[in-house]
Amino acid sequence: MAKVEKRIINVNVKNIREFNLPYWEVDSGREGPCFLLTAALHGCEVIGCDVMRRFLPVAARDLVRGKILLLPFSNPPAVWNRRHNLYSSPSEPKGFGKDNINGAWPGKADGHEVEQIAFIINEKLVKESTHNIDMHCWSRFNVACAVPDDESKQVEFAMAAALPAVHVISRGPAAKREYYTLSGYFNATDRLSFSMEFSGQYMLSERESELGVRMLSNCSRYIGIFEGDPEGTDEPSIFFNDKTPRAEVKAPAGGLFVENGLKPGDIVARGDLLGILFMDDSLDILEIKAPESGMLYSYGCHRRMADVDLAAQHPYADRDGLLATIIPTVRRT
Amino acid sequence: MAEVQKKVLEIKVKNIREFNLPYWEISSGKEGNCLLTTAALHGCEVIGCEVMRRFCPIAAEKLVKGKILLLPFSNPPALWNRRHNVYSTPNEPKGHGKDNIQGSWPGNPEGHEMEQLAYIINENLVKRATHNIDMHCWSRFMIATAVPDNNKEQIEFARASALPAIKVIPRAPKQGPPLHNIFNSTGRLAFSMEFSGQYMLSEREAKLGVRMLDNCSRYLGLFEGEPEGLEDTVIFDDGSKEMVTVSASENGLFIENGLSVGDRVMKGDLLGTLFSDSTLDVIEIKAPADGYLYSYGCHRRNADVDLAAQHPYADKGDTLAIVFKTS
Repeated sequence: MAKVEKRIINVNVKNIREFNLPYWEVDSGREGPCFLLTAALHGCEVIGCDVMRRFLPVAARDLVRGKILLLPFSNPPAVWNRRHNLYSSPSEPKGFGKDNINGAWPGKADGHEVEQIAFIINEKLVKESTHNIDMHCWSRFNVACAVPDDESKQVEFAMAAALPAVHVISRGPAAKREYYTLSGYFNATDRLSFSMEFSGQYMLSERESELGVRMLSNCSRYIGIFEGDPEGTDEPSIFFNDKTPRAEVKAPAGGLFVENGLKPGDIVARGDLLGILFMDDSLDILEIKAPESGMLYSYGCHRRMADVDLAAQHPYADRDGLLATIIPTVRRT
Repeated sequence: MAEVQKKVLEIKVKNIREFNLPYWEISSGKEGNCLLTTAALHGCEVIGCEVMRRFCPIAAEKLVKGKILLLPFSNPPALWNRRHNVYSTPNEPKGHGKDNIQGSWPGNPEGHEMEQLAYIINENLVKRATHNIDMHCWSRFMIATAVPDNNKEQIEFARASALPAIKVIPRAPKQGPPLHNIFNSTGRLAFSMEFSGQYMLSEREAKLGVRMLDNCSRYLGLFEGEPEGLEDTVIFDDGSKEMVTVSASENGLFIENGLSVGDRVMKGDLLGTLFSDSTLDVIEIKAPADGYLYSYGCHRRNADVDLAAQHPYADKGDTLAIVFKTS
């Protein structure tokens, strides 16, 4: 068994009450990579917190070299606000304002609130780490997805997670900037990292937690701090970038979209029933079928702002409202 | 088979585009009661729409006396707004303003938008009906519940629904709104009910709703047979039994233990754990008494209008569950 210590960083930044930032340090006692896990940089994205709670005993049992640092609540003031950022207000689009900590890395000692928090985490944890997975969440209508940059090492690392989806982002040549996202900062300083999105904000999910624990075990194997090879990498998955063709299934008329018991990540064949549209102006029913075979990258009627507003999650679709997105599956290996 | 007709009311009220209000009329061809079922008077409460869609063929097959009128989308302008009322704005507490159609019954042809809409529904459907079930939804943290007034006949009608919970409201008889009161104050039997979940549909709730309508149709003699599953009503809240609120003992993320509203729990059963952000300690939250879960999951006021109020992070004292005591 590796040694597990709970440690606390005392955080004192301007405009916010002094608070503790606890983390677990799991140490094998042997040389090796230092793997930092972060979650809840955005306050409504908390599935990764539970993933780390579950992963801790696994890490203590399986760690054979190096070290793992687990920081489940990376930005407590945003969690207390229960929204995306520290100062997000109701139904405010999440944006990339000054209070978004994921545009504030590596932080600044005398900067604004979240720059100061980022600075402290950077000094105490990020600097020491060789690898990072930064766990986020998007709306429950989208499948859990790793989001590496278009760089082969990052993509390989993300593929080891065995998440159902990998979305490769083409950000172009890395330019030196003043501030980064956390994973961007790792990668800009030649340390391997990717960010990922669980399915579901403002909620926890048994299914997502299980995916998350497997992801962390797999990636620990990939970087050699656990023994063995990643598991589940032969499962159907989607691997795509912004140019990958996808089939968007849209409502042919206004109506209530009654789902057919599927969920994001399910595999469908062309012609499968996705659901029905129950029309409020005629009581007629329209069957909505899969136009292509593939994985449900998104499933369920929703609109922009579904991550901040309940009405945007309402199952009543306007004509042309998005009901599902299907992307062809690929073999991961 | 009874005759099923789809009929349409053409609605023209001020400040809202002209629209159709379709409904199904199912006639046995024999004398009998006329049951009107309504849903989505509030735009974010749509489970009853799907219940009626599923119930229509059942009614066509089973109706032996009287008539059933199914009005799934009772207030389309609120539906299009995808919020409680026609003019509800984001995160606005639902309130009881002029745009809440439930305060507008029996309507007024010269009144405001909702009074005009209520008036048309009243003239064309409510006046014809002898009975009504008005389907609403509350937040997904609460159990599906029939909500009759404290009146013996209403309570018996509601009991026939076999919903998992019945909450008796100690209201004195009065004239006027809401819709079920229009019925009850004119000597016609009605109750309103709440499904579990707004802004969403749910297989479990839709099944409960179809059984409710089937059972209540039997109770009224429209269908043959007796209501089924009456033993599934596990909570009867007439104010005489104790509810125990389970509160967070300190701040933390409430991780549920896979339970659902309506589940039976025994004193000491694990309801979930509280994962503290300030210490990473885990505190077990246990059932304080034997009973049934009337509510389950961390949430706060305004959970029916605001995502943040559904967030599983609890402040000390926040409600995590309510247990309806059985001993």
